Amino acid sequence: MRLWKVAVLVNLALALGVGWGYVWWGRRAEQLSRELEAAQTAPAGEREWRVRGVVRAILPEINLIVLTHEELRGFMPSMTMGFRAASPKIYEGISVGDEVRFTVRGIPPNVAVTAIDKEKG
Amino acid sequence: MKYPVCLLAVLVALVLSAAGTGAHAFLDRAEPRVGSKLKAPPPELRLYFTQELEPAFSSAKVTNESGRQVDKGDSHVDDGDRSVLRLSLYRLEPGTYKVNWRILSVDTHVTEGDFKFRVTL
Amino acid sequence: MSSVATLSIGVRFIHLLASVALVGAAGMLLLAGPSDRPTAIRWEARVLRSIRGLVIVALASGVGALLLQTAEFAGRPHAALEPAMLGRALLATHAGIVWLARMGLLLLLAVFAFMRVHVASKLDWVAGRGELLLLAGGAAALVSFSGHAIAVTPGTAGAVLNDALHVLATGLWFGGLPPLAMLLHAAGRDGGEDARAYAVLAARRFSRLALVLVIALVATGVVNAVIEIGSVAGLLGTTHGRLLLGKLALLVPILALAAVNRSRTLPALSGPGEAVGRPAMRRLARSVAIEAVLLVALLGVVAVITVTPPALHVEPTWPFPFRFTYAALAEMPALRIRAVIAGQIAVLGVVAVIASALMRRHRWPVLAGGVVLVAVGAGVALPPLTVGAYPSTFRRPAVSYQASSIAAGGEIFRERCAGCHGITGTGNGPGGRGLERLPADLHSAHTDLHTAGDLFWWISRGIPGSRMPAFAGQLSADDRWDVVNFIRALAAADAVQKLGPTVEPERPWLVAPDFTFSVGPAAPRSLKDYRGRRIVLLVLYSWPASKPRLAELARAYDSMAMLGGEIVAVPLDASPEAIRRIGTEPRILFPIVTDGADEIVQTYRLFGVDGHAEFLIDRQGYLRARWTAPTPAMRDVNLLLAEIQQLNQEKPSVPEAAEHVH
Repeated sequence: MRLWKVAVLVNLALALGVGWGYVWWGRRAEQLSRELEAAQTAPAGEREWRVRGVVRAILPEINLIVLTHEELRGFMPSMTMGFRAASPKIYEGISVGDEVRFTVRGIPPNVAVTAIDKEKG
Repeated sequence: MKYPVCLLAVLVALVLSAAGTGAHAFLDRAEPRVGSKLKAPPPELRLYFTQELEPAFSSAKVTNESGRQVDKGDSHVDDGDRSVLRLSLYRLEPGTYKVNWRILSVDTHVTEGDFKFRVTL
Repeated sequence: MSSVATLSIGVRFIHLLASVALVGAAGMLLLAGPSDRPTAIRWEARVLRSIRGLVIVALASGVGALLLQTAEFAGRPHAALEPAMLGRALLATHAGIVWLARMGLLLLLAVFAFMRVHVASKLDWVAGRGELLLLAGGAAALVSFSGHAIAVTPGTAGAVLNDALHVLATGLWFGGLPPLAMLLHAAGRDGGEDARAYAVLAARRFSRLALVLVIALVATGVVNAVIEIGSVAGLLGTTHGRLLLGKLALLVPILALAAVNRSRTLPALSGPGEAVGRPAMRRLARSVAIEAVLLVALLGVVAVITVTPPALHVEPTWPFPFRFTYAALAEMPALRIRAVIAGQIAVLGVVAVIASALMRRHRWPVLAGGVVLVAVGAGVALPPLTVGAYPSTFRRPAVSYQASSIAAGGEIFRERCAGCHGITGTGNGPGGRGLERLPADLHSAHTDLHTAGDLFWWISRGIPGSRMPAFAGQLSADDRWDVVNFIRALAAADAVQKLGPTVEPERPWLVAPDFTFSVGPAAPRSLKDYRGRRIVLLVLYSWPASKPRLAELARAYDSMAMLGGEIVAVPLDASPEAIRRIGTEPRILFPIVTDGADEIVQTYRLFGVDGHAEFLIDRQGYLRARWTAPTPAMRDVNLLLAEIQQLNQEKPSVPEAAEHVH
């Protein structure tokens, strides 16, 4: 085979390789970001968290308790958030400013506070 | 026009050997901050570097005064920001903690360093 | 570890040398073109032999470099021989992938170089040599993909492309010199007459190309330096910067040689007779060889640079006891015009010096005149611009500008410094009275003239000829940086007086010290977490005096959140019971700081008054408006919302507030 033909073939192979690598890389990046998204959206089914928080507002009239809380892993980061209470008993014995430990249960995003206890001290 | 004298003295500067580089050359900042006093134990340590890191050869660990490791050994480069190294901590008692890090940046430089922070009550 | 590092530099040097030499050797063959003269054919065979040698050296040193790099990555010399570690260094790092790609290209190059082929036509000849150049160029350019340029953010692609061009230009120029010297030598010898015209043509073509290459090298080199060094302090005060200066120092004689070759020797080659051409050819061969040797030394410096951290990421050590700054003129406005005029004279002088190099007539008088102008201009302009400097002058504080550091620095200041400098830092402490040299007033505009590194130096080492003691032995470095941050906050406190209750459009200038806080057991947050996301209204309040105001803010909170604003309320007494104390009315849902309040109060009280105060901080981290009142009289919340809207419309005109003071 003539040398110039060899050179052209080699360059063609190189160009194809680079192009294929580029496409593969883009696909892979896309796939990774999809996987990441999938991992972040929680699996279906009922889940439960027990975290610490501080009571910011108690609104039994609209069945809401507002808490500044720690991260609910796999669901929401640390923030100030209104939660539904599973029963009216939740509102008893707590007041604004209390540091509490509370339980959240439900199928995200439908969750409710099922238990709440004041932290010691 | 500002620096002609400096440029003339370039050779002088070359003769002077470089003094030791700063201890914080690559660490931009840390959360908790370098040398900080914390009133609540941090759940996690985040190290922000000035360059992107190679996950395969970048790690950090936290030890207490008696040299026992108090992190969960899960130091990893953040998925979203490749210049951030994160590791989670066991609940820290009040005391002084030392952070040792050793990182490989994408331009193949290995850097290491340490700093301390304190948890008080 | 250091022996590994030294060995690594050596191996990298050899690898770099072979890689770029390959580019130029192939390039020179193409440039000279095919020839049927026996001497030229012999030369071409020699160059091809050296290409074969070089590719073997490049491959072998590449493998060596990988082993050494693995040892460095892992931090143990033995890791170089562990298959698992090698695999990790090769497949799990960016540099490893780039290495594989480069080695692949070099292997292909080796196949091409060793292949015995029949060259039937000029097309074959060009394709063969061109393929060598392409593969060598690709392998060399890929060096940039795992070097300093890849770590540049933002603008990675531009930096890598620029660096790749720099490497390619180096290769074509430096790598072309040895083959050219060989050709000129062969043609200049007895019996080389047949290839003399061919050699002259090759030298001419190379000279033309070299001019373009040198311009490209300087341009890409300047861009590289700006990206990776970024400041005069970085250039003069770091290993990387000094190595670059060394590289430039080596470049000067190379360029001088090249200029002489181009302007004197090359024209002499085409002399009419044998007598004119041959000595010139020999001279040219010699000087091209010297150029090549100097360039080898230069590449040695480059090899060291590649393993040195970029200056941008290293704290510089300033080598001179002085520096020049325009800020010095702030104290002497009368001198400003004088300095500007003298500066213009110096520039004129520089222009004259450059012009003299290009002139044929009157060269020496113009040169002398230019030198005199430069000397006079610099002599007049520079003294007023000169201020004292220290090794730490351009160091970046090790502790960032944040409330906890400022508060800690304030405590140290009251304990150790207030005796002479006064509780508020005005220099009126009892210990300072009657001193020959009075303690500095830290509020004066004068402190702006000095860098954080200057303050650090004085606090560490004291000031000779004054009573200012050295604290290096008594305070840790971080403690001293805390004091520097406190002094910077004092200066900012003066500037803050100019800040009114309304936002001045498009004019951010005052950095808000960062702070960390938490609300109850929630994860701690920093002001910096809001960067680029929300405009923060920092409210320092007293209870119950601020109650009506907080109630109003609580009512406006929804609208504010919608506009991208966040409120952070800090109780002035730093009570951890703040939320409980407020109770159910007003219903406040924005963060009430329960942890970290004391540091925020200590810092931001410097900027306000004793009572209720509000600070508006934009998305870039700058303080934009300040509202203080001894009693929290009402201020229309709608006006506040309007200001937030105004900030929303602003385009960021300045870089984000710096993490450290300067």
